[in-house]
Amino acid sequence: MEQTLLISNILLWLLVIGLSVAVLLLARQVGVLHERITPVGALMIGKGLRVGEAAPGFRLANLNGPEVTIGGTQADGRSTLLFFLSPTCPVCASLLPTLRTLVRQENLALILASDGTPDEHIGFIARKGLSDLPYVLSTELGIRFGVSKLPYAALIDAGGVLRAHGLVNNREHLESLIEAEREGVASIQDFVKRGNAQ
Amino acid sequence: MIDPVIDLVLRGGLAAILGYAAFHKLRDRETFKGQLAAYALLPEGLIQPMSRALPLIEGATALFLLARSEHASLLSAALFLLYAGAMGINLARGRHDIDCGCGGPEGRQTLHWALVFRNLLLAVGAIAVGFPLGARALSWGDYAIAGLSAVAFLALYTALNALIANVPATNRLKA
Repeated sequence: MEQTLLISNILLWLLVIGLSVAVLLLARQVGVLHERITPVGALMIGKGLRVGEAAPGFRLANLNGPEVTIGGTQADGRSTLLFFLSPTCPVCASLLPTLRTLVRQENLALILASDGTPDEHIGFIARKGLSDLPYVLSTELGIRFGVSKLPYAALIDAGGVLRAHGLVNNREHLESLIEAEREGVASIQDFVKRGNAQ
Repeated sequence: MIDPVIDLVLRGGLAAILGYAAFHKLRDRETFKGQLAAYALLPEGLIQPMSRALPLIEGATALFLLARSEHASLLSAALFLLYAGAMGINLARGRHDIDCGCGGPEGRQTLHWALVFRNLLLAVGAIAVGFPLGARALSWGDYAIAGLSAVAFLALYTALNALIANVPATNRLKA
């Protein structure tokens, strides 16, 4: 009898550990699947503005230089990439180097936008070496662009028309905004919808 | 009174959880600093020192648990409750989308009430470690059971964390 119990116990232990590991691996696989089916592209959230319409005009004080104008026709013919960030958002900070490379490659004007008091941003600008970029603080701007999550980006062409906007969490999302402008699609969802329609 | 085998399992499991938490925080200090700042609970001047101190406290607590120090039980329970409180406050503020900082840089786990509940359970386990041990001589079989239980416990703990991390993505799919 004792022999039977011992063997059954050993077997049960092996099964318990085997099952625990199996559940662990399954949960991981579900996570990987979720990552795969999440659209790789800046996701449009909320209502905010419509792509293809004129972006709202703003004239805002710049922490790093003269006032900046958002919206309206740009004299130098360059599109503007508006990047909404916050000093307390780690993903925003990690995207900054990518953002610089991208605007250089694509010849875009980059404007950083946030809200709050200047004090909390001045330290952030110094730490991240952003003093060469226009940096505006405006709650109104974020509300008009429908920014509910950070980091958020909006692309406005030289004519002042909003070309693409969305939540950007990585390089692919940023590039998808530029791609969206080139292809004339509003967002990754819009692109998928068109593909289905054809 | 708590059986020595249960005590061993709890100590081993909690020490492993705290040790791993300390390890991933120390390996990527910048990410942890950002995650700590995102909780918006500390004044800016304290974020840098706290982001260095917390992993060291976690690591030391793990060692204290293994070394059976007198106050290890209370210290680890306090840590779990502190984290549960910090997450609870931010969930109450409606900040569901910040990273909880529990999974390391690749973890990408946003806050969820299940995590608060998980931490409360861990705190209960940590308090149980402080109870007096039952007097009983341990045989090799007891050690074997303690070891196997710890492995099963950690595997299930990691699996549950992975499942909680999947909850927001699953909800997005349902919507």
